[in-house]
Order: sequence, then structure tokens, then C-alpha cells
Amino acid sequence: MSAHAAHAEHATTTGLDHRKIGMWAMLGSECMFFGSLVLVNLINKNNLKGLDPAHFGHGILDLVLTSSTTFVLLTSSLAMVLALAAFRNGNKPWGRFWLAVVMLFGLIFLGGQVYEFSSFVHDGLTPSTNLFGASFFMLVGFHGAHVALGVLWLGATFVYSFRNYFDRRHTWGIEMAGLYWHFVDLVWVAIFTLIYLI
Amino acid sequence: MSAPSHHGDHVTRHSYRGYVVVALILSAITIVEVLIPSLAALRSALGRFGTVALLLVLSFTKGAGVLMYYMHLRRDSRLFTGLFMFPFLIASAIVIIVFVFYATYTGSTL
Repeated sequence: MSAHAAHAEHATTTGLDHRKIGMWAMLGSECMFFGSLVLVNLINKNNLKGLDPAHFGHGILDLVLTSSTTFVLLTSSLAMVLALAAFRNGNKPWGRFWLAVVMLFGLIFLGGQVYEFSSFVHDGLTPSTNLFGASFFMLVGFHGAHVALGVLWLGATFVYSFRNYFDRRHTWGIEMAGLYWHFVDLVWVAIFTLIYLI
Repeated sequence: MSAPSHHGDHVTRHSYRGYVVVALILSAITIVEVLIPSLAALRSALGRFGTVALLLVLSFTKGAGVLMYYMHLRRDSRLFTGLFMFPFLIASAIVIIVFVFYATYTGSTL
């Protein structure tokens, strides 16, 4: 299927692509979803019942690891926007390269999350230990699931890029994947500040 | 950095430099954010309220940078801005209001 046939545009009352409108509406709804999880975390921040006192407060949250993964995710956002720019410039090899970089950094971030979760379990903090554990694992776990889904989505986009699905004028698929990925980064910016730093 | 545009056969070339500059700024803000709670002298100088306020301002700045430059909201239709900002503001208001009520009743703080 050629890129043109795959991206046949349709007339809309707003003059805007309905797919993009739908994506922004979805991201807006995700704000409500993550907002509620962040609120629960803020409320249960000090519910550390059942934990070893040595790990209270910031002791259990590894700022060095999380700062590193934050930089990884920020850099992946840069790679994502460079990928979109490359495809729009008609430079498919570089576009695919940057897409691969985004996926790699996403997997590195997920690896950091897995390490963090396993070290928490080792220290005695699980979703069933106390309310802090339940809300923390819920929030960060759901964010990680979004990252994992994003990596799969980017993988599909990467494969489609080899099938002439995208060209200089038809990059909406990459743009949609990019919007999702940047939003995932945006959520992490909020989580990192509200849960880890404050 | 230029917005995507397609006028006839002419296609605007998209610059990478602007995106890299934004990335450097976001990284610098992140470094400052990490340093604030790590430096005891800075924390005591700012106080608890000042520390939280400064971190929130920096966080919002980073978020705005990602939204405007990476997600292209700056040059895109205002409808997209509205579709995102309206639920975001509602969610933020709910978080703030509920947490203030909770803190008032329990005496808990951030």
C-alpha cells in the first residue's frame, strides 16, 4: 500500500485531522487518569506502616537511579522529535535510526524501573505492605506499562517505515506515536517531581 | 525550528538544532531540580514551602517546553491546546483541592 493511499485525507468540519483530534482528546483523558493516581500517592506518602524505619521517607527512593532514568526518558523524547523531523525531511534512514534510539532508551528506562521495583520488594516494600506501597506501585507501574506499550507502538512504526508507509508528506503515524511518547515523558516529569523530589 | 508545512511542491525543511537546544535546556532544568533537594544549605535557605514551590515551577516549565516544542502545540491549532489543557487544568485543580482538604483535616504535609 503506498503512503498516499494509506493516508488518504478526508474532509473535516474543523479542517483538522480527526485522528490528531482523537489523539489529543485521549491524552487529555490520560491527564485525568494519572492525576488521580498522583493524588492518591501524595495522600499516602507517609503511610509507611510495616516498613523498616531505616527506609522511611527519601531513604527508600533511590534518587541517583531515578535521575538517570529521567535523563534517559528526556533524551528519548529528543530522539523521537528528531525521528519525526527526519521523516518529514525525507530522510528515512535517519528517521529509522532515531526511532530505534527511542525504543532502546525506552527499554533502558523500563530496565531501571524493573530494578527499582525488585529492590523495593527486597527491602520489604510491596503493593500489599502499606498504602504507600500500593499507591506507588500502582502509579509507577501504570506509567511503566504506558512506556512498554509505547515501545511496542514504536516497533510497529519502525516496521511500517520499511513498507513505504511514510513519506515526506505523510508522517501522521509517526506524529501520533510521537505525541504519545512525549506525553509519557510528560507524565514522568510530574511523577519525578511530585513523588521523588518533593 | 520550523513548523511542518506543505505548500504545493515546496516542503519546509525541519531543523534539528532547535530541538537539541530545547533538550539542553530541559536537561539543565532537571539537573537543578535534582540538586535542590540534595543540597541541605539550599533547602534550609529556601524553606519547605520555597523548595516545593521552586520544584513545581521548574516541573511546569519542563512540561511546557515538551508540550510547546516537542508536541508542537506552539504552532498547532488552538483546538489541540484546549483538548489537552482543559482536562489537565481540571485534574490539577482536583489534586490541589483534595490534597489541601486532606492536609487540613489530618495535619499532613508534602
